[in-house]
Amino acid sequence: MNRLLQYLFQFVWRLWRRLLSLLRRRGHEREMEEEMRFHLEMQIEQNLAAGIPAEEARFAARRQFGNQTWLKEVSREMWSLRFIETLIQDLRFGARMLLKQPGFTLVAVLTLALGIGANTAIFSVINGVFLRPLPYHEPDRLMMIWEKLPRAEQVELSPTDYEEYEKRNQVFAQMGAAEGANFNLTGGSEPIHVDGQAATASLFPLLGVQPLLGRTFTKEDDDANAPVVILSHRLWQSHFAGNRAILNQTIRLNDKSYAVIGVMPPEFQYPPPVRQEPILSDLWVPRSLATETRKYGHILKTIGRLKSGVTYEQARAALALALQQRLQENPKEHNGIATNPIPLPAQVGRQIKLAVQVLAAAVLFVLLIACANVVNLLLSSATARQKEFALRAALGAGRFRIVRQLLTESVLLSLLGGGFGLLLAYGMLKAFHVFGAGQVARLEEITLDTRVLMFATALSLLTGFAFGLAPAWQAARINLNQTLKEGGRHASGSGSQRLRNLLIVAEVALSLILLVGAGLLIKSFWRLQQVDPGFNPDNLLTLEIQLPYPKYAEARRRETFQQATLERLAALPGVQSAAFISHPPFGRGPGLNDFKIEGKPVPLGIANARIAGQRIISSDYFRTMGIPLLEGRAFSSGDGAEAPRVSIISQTFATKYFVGENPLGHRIQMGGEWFTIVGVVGEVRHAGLDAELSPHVYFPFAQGGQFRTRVVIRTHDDPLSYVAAIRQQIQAVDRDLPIYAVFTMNQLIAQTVAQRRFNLLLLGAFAVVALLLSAIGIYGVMSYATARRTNEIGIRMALGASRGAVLRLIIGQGLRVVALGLLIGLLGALALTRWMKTLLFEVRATDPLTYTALALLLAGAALLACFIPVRRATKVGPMTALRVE
Amino acid sequence: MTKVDILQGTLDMLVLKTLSNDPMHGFAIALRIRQLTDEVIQIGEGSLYPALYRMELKGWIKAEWGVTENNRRAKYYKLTRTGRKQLEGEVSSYTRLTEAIAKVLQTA
Repeated sequence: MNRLLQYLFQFVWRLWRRLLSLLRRRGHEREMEEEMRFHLEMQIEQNLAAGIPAEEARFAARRQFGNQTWLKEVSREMWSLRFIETLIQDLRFGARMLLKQPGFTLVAVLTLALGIGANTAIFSVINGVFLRPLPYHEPDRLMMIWEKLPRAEQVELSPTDYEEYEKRNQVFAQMGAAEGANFNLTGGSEPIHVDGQAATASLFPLLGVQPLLGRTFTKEDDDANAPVVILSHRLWQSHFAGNRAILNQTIRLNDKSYAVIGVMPPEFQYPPPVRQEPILSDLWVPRSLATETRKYGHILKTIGRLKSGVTYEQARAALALALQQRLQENPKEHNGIATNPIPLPAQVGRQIKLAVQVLAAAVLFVLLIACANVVNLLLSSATARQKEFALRAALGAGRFRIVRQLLTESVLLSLLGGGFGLLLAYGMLKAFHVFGAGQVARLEEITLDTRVLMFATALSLLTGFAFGLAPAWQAARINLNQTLKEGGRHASGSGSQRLRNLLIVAEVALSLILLVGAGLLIKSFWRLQQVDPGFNPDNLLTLEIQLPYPKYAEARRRETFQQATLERLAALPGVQSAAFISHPPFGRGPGLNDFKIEGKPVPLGIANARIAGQRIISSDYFRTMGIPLLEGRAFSSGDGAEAPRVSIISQTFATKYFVGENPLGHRIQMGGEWFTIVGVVGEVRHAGLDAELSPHVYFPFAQGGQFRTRVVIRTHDDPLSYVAAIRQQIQAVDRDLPIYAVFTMNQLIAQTVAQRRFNLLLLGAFAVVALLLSAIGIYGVMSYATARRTNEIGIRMALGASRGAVLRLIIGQGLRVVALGLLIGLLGALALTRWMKTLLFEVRATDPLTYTALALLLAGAALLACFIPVRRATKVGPMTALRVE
Repeated sequence: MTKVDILQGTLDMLVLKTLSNDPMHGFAIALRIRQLTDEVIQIGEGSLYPALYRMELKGWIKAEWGVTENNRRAKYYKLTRTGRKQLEGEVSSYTRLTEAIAKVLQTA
C-alpha cells in the first residue's frame, strides 16, 4: 500500500512539474539552447586544446553534437505534455472553424442550448427537491410515523396513538411530535396571523439542529405560567427585523405573553418540507401550552430517530407489533387502521416524484432530438470540408488525429451550447419560482448550485462526444485519391443518407411520444375542469379568522361572535349570504377523527376504518355554498351550545355506513361525545377535483369548540371588491381580529390544480419544442437531399415528368421515412404512457382520439417541412437544374 | 576508444555517481566519465541531456545556473536527497547483478 502511494505521489508530482514547465515553455527552450551552446563551445575549446586546427575543431564538435533539432525535440518532449499541446492546438483551430461558419454555429449552438438548458433546469429541480439533504442531523436515521388508511397513506397520529406507541417503543432512541397551532400575533401596528407548531420537548433534540440564537425546549418549559416560544428565521427577519435583542423578550400571542427563548436557522423547518402543500411554520411552542390542544383527532406529525443499528424494516415490524399488542389489551379501541412509518429520505411525495420523472424523460427526448439535428448539421458541414480532410490525411494526419480534431470542435460547440443553456435554465428557474410558488415542496432550494453546474458541464461534454462521433468518423473515412481528384464536391453517398433518415425516424418517434404525453395531460386537465365540485364556486369569497383562546374560551362567547358577525356580513349590500366553516373545500383539510356508530361494531380490515373528516359550520353554510340537502334538516339557531348534540353527515358517509337504512336518528361518537344525525347533504369534493369522495361529518359551530374558522360569503358580483367592507364589519365586532388568507373559491380551486397545470405547461412546452426541432430537422434533411438530386430532378423534368409527379416522388420518399417514425412513435407512446397513468384523470393512457389527433398534427408538420424545400427545387427550370454541376 | 552501448538505467546511475560529490555542468559530467573510464564510455549529448532532463523531472537532481571558472554561464546539476537514495539503490542492485553474471561466466 505504501509503495502504491509512493508511485501515485511520484506520478502526480511528475505531472505537476510537466504542467508547470508547459507554462514556462519558452523560458525552457531558451535555457536549453544556451546549455547546448555552452556544451558546444567547451567541446570546441577541448578540441583546440588537443591541437586540432580551428575549422576542424568546430566541425568535429558539431558533428559530435549530432542533430541539434532532433535533440531539441527530444528534450522538449521531456518538458512538455504532448497531449495538452495538441489539445490547445485543436481548440484554437476548432474555434476558428466555428467562427468561419457563423450560420451553422449559431443554429447548432441555439439548438444545443435548448436541449442542455432544459435538462439543466429539470436537474436542478431534482437536485433541490430530492438530492439535497434535509435540514436535520443524520436525516436517514429518521422516520416519520404515520398511520394508514385505504385511501390515505399518511395519516397523523392522535394523542392517544402517540402515547401508546411511545409506551411500547423499542426501536426509536427518541420520538417527538408536533401539531398545528395558530396564533394572532398582536402588539405591532396590525395583528397578523402566524402558523406555528406545538411540539413535544423531545422534538428539537431529536432533530439535532442547533438554534441560531438562544436555546430549544427543555422539560421545564412545559410550565403554563411561563410560556415560551421559538421563532423561525423567516418570522424573525420579517417581523422582528432580525434584531438579536428579541431573545428573552416577550411577544403577545393570542393575548398571552410568550418569552422568546430561541431563533432557528434559516433552513430549519418542521414538519419536514416534503408534502405537496408545504406548511411553513413560523414559530414553535411547547405542546402542553398549545391553546388548541385537543385530546382527539389525528393531528400529531410524529417523527422518530432510530436507535443505532436498527433498520427500517425492523422499525416497521416493531410498530406493527406494538399496534397489535395495544389492540389486544384494548379491543374496544380498534378502529381499523394500520401503522405506516416512512423513512424521512423516502418521504418526498410520490406524485411529485412521478411528475418530475416524466419531465426528466421529456427533456432527455428534447436533447436527443436537438442532438439529431446537430448531427445532421455536422454531416453537411463535414461534406463541405472533405477537401480539407483529404489534405490533412495527405500531410500525414492519422484517422484518429482527424477524428480527435473534429470531436474537439463538437465538444467546443456543445460547451458553447451549454453556456447559453445555463442562461436558459436560469430563466426557466425564475419562471418556476413565480409560477410554482406554494405548489412544489422546497421550491426555494431549487437553484443553480455547484452540483447543477457540474451536471451542465458534464452533460455538455457528453453531448459533444455523442453527436460528434458519428460525423467525425464518417468524415475521416475518405478516399484520398478520389476526393482530391474530384475537387472535393462528391458527397459521401448512401451511407450518410441512411444515417440522416435514421435520425429523422428517431426525431419523429420521440416527438410523437412527447406530443401524446402532453395531449393526454391536456385532456386530463380539461376533464378535471368538468368535474362538479358539489357546490357552486362562483362569486364566493373565503377568508380565515382566528378566535384567540382566553377571550373566546367560553362557548357562549363564540356563539355570540358567530351571530353578530354573520348578521353584519349578511346585511352588507351585495352579499347574498355568509357562513362559517372550519375547513372549506379545496383548502387545508381537517384532521381525521376516529368515530363510532352506535349499534354498529367495527369489522376488521383497514377498508372499514371508522375515520372521517369533521367540519364545523354555521347554520347557513349549505345554503351559502349551494350544497343540496338530501334528507332531514340543516342546523339552526336551536342547535346552540347547550342544546343536544347533533350532526349532519355527507352522502358518502350515508351510503358507506347506512346501506339501505335511514341514517336519521342514529348516533355517532366523535371526540368523546355522542351526536345524533339530523340530516344528510350532498357530497362535496373537499380534497380536490380529482380526489376520491370520502365521508364527512358536519357539526354546528356553537357545539364544535372551534377557534379557527373560515368565513364564506356569497356575493352578487366580484367577491374581491367586498374585502374591505367585510374586514370593516368583522373588526367592528372585535377590533383585534385580523383576517387573512383571503381568496375567492375559484382561486382556491385553481390552487389545487396548479401543480397539474404546471406540469402540463412544461410538458406541453417541451412537446412543442420537440415538434419544431423535428420539423426543422426534416426540413434540413429534405433540403440537403433535394439539393443533391437537383441533377436528377432536371433530367426527369426534361424527360417530360410534370412538376406534380416529381413532387410526389420525392416527398413520397421523405414521407415514407416520417411514416416509419410515426409508427415507432405510436408504439413507443403506447408503451411509455402507461407509466404516467397516475398523472391522468379520467383519460386512458391509450386514448385513441389523442393519439390520432397528434399523429396527424405531426404528419402535417412533417409534410409541410418536406414540401417547402422540394417545391423550391422543382420551381427551378429543368435547364438550370441540368446545368448544376 | 571503443564505444560501448550502455543501458539507460546504467547511464543514470553513472551520472548520479558522478554528481555524488560536487555539482557539475553537463559537459563536465560527460568529460569526467570519459576520463574515469579511459574513453571506454563516451556519452554523447543526445543521450546525456535527455537523461539529465528526465532525472530532473523525477526529482533526483536539481539544476541551477552558475558561473564557471572562466566566468561563463553554465547550468550546474546537483544530487538531491531522493537522488542519493536512488543512487544507493541502483548501485546495490547493479552490484548484485554483476556478481551473479560473473558467477555464470566463471563456470566453464
